[in-house]
Amino acid sequence: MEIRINGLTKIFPPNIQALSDIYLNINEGEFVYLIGTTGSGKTTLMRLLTREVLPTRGQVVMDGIDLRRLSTSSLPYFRRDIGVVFQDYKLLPYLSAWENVAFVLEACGVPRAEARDRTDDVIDKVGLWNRRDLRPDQLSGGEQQRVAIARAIVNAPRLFLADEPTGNLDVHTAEYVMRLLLSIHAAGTTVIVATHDQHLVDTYRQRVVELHMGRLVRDEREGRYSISGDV
Amino acid sequence: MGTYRYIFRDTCRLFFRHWGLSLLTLFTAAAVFFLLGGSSQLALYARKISQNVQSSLIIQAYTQSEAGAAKVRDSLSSSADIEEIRLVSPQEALEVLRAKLGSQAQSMLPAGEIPLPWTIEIKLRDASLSSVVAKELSAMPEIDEIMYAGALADRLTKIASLITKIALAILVIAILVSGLVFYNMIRISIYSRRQEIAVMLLVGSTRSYVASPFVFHGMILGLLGAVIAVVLLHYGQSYIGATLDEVLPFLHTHLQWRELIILDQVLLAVGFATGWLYSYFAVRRYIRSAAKPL
Repeated sequence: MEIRINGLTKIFPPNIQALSDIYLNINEGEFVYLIGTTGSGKTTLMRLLTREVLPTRGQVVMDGIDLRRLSTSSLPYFRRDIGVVFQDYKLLPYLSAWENVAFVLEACGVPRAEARDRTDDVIDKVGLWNRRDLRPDQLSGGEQQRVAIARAIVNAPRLFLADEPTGNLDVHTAEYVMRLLLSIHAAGTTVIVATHDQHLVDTYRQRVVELHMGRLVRDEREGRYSISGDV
Repeated sequence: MGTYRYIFRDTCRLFFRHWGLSLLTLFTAAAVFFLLGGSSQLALYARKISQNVQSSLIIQAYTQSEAGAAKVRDSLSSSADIEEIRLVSPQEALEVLRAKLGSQAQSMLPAGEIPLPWTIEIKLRDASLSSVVAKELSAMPEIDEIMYAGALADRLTKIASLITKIALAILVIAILVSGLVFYNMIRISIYSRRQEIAVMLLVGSTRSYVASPFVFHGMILGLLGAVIAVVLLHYGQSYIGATLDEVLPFLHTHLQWRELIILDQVLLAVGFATGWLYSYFAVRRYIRSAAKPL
């Protein structure tokens, strides 16, 4: 999915400037790290891409569609092309790992047999086949994260967004998750990962976009993790 | 197919997740619909009693001569308001009186000729016109006296009309009260699942897909509440019918099966529609605000 962000500004009431005059182009199939300190505007930018938030000024154009002009009735179909992994996973506590994944396909009206096969595939892909019947509270943080990733990719999205996907994980699990993200990217999906994980950014070198107090301050091909203001 | 399965599964889940609230809603709805059905039955009884009294109502006018009676009959026979006019001679009236008195007739009636008048018995098509016809009769010089239960008929008509109005008021109150109960129950269910709804909307579920289980939950509770009310009303109706037969046998106030079935159908439809409408409004309002971008 191709993303064009032109002069994007977001001000939340009463007068909180979250993003200011952002220009950013992301081509189809790119892998982008979105880095910056807490409150720099990473999550707001992600939410603008899923149209949970609308710009105060400027444009977000995805595959030629200006999100501000996207109708309410087309929004669900637009979102089916986007897989999102939330920082707090947002898994449904009363469903098993398998059901948490299958429910996305169910919600999108995918036939039952096809939904079952696709869910089996992604559950296997994220290495949770033996844990598929457990509920989120019976899984570790890393396993929950993998369920969240499985849920985000089960619909074969063209854009994959992950907000701090390795934030609460140990190094080994974080690396496992990162390899999963790279495999998603290798399949041709545009991947945007908001992260604070210096180790991952520096190990798996990709494009780095840095935000600082709502402004885009760095955009580097194969960049490293170094936050503006860091000593 | 997956959609129907999801709706069915989630509707069941809503029942069991908030079973206390669902039961409370169900019983409140049943009580409200019972009140509604009871007042409607009361209105039907009142109308039936009024109709029975009115249908047996006749105006009796008295005159001294056969010629006078015939003249009155001729002048009224063309009236569209009158169903039947019958002249009763003094002899016939005496026979009727003797028959009514039975074995006591001889001791109660004086010996010799009894000067009874000629009677004109008038049966009206619509008993509510009795005052008008009585007024018309009293203006005729041939008529000495008029007797009719017009005041009673008028009073019964007014009572029936009042009870119908009360039943309508109860209908409005019932719809509002049950609506409020459904609305709040659905809001609480939605509130407990707000995270799930947010996730569903983010992964591309349509609003109608998210809303369906909540709307079905409301519809089923409304319908079940109405079913309970209908069952209770049937028991109540049998009891009231038997009591009225015993206490006021001459009123013939049986409600017909057809009337009861129509009332049942109306109650079921009101229960279903109330559950559906208010659940729909509650969930639509929430989803609209949840899906609105910041």
